[in-house]
Amino acid sequence: MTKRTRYFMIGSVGILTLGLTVGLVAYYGGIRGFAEPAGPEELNYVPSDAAVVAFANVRQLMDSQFRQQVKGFESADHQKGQEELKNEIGIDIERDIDYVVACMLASPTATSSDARSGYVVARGNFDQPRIEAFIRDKGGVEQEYRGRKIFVRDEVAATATTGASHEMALTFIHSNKVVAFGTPAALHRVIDLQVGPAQTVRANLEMMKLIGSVEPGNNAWVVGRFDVLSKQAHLPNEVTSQLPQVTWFSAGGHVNGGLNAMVAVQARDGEAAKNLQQVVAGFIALARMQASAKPELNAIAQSITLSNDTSNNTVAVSFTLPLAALDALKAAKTRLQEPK
Amino acid sequence: MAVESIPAATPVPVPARAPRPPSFVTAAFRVFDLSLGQMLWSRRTIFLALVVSAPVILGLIVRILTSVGIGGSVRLGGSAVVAGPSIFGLFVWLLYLRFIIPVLGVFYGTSLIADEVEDKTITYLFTRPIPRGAVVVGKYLAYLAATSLVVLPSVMILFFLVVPTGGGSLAAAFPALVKDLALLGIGLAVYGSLFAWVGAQFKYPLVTGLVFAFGWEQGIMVIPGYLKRFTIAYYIQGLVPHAMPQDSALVILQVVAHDALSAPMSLFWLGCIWFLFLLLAARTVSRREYVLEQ
Repeated sequence: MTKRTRYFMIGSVGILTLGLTVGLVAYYGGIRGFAEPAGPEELNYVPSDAAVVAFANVRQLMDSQFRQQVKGFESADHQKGQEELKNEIGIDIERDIDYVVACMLASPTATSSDARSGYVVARGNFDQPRIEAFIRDKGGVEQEYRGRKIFVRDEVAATATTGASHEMALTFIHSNKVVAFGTPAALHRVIDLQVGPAQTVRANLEMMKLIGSVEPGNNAWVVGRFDVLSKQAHLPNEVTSQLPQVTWFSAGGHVNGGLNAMVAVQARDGEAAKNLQQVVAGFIALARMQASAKPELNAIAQSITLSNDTSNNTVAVSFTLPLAALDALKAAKTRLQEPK
Repeated sequence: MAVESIPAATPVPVPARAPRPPSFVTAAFRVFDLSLGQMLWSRRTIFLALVVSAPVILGLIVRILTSVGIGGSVRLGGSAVVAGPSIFGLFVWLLYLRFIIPVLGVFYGTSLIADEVEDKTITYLFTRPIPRGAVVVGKYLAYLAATSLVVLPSVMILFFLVVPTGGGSLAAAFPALVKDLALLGIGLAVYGSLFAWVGAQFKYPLVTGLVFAFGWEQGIMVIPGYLKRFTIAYYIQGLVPHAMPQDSALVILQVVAHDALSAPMSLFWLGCIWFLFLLLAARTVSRREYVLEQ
């Protein structure tokens, strides 16, 4: 072997080794600012057994052209509600919230009648004293859990007819920056993650794999166990009996000039994935046929893409909603509302 | 009467024992050592460098476009593609697996023996005291090393160029990269083995190889039925970790009739194809009488 052949081999193997080392380091912990693990920092406040995890980059969504177009569809009540929130606690949803992370906690054995537990963690600019004063004014009770302050508002009176207690709580994770609100039991889990040696969702490899696959390029996404979703949805038995074939679901969307969205489900095995794919392909064909006569829907129907990943039994459907389609929908709505 | 004395017999020199021919493995390694340099520094390498640098240049363009804020307008497969891992997946599937790997397999695989025949240098190899099969195996290993050492680093560079764009995470995409590298290695090995046999068996191996790779394989993959099982692309498709876009009405029909194999089955059949054709190539070279045209 000549010297230059040897140098060439060393160079090639060097590039491969360097690349694999950097990738491996990124995969097992991350390199801050260069190759960080998937998901926002707030995933550190989500426990490892979370059944559903969602993320929305509120700032990007609010600033998008798509949002400006959708504003036209919003009712006056909705805008009034935003104004009230701004006046009472000083939060301008359009500007003050950077992003939110939400999660749902559910045991795999939970039934649809079991109480739902979950919370939302929001990062942004918050006026903590003003928010706390507002909660106290509204009858919120201040409690302490492991040295952290939690505000709980008991709404038993409001739900007295059903007999179910419906408590909501709020705690500041970082003063004026990160706030969590949800059920008190769920917020206790958040505090446990902060002060104790509890495992975060980053230790849940299946969940993180899904987050890693859906996060890139999307400014809103949700991933989770499908059984939790189906139990909460109160679906008919005929449908529910088919659903155990699906184990995980994920959905993500990129909103800017238009909307690019993707919904994926992971089937239990290859056979289930194949069946699901055939069913979805049939529905897409039907949708395209139905939409061919309606220009406002045709662009959306034609953008629907079905893809499959046989390596992990995943079936995914993606579609695009361009701004032009939104305009067409708006025009169609106006036509319907016009007096004949 | 004088009696002539018979001179004492001078000791006849005993010929030194002939060196033992090298074993199959040693012989194959020697041929590998000799062929690797020849393969890497041949004119064909310019072609190889051009082919593998194309995706890297495209990746660089994507990176520059996204850096200046027009990444959202990058479109592939009819829909907007922003996420780096999706672009990387498409590059691996469309450029590497469907084009570069078969092309390299055809150009390098078919030339393993055919070049020696054409240059009339095969006699020098065959007059050495080594098994003919070891010549094929050694040259095949040299092909595998030469192509892997060029293709895999280019994929690695592409990964670091493209994946971080559009909010992509290197950490999240890393397992897919490892699978891709393994898959490309498998693709090079299997295509190389098939075309090594084509090179040893057929008179016009390059034409035969091109017809197979870009006629038969590409054509039969879109026709429903069992015939696609006679392609390598079908088994490689069963191993691809990235979702493959399927966005036309024709493809919807294909999806309904889709019968992709599971990953273990695909791997099993690829292993069978690799072993069978490498064996056939070695056997063909061992048994065939090469007549060098003047």
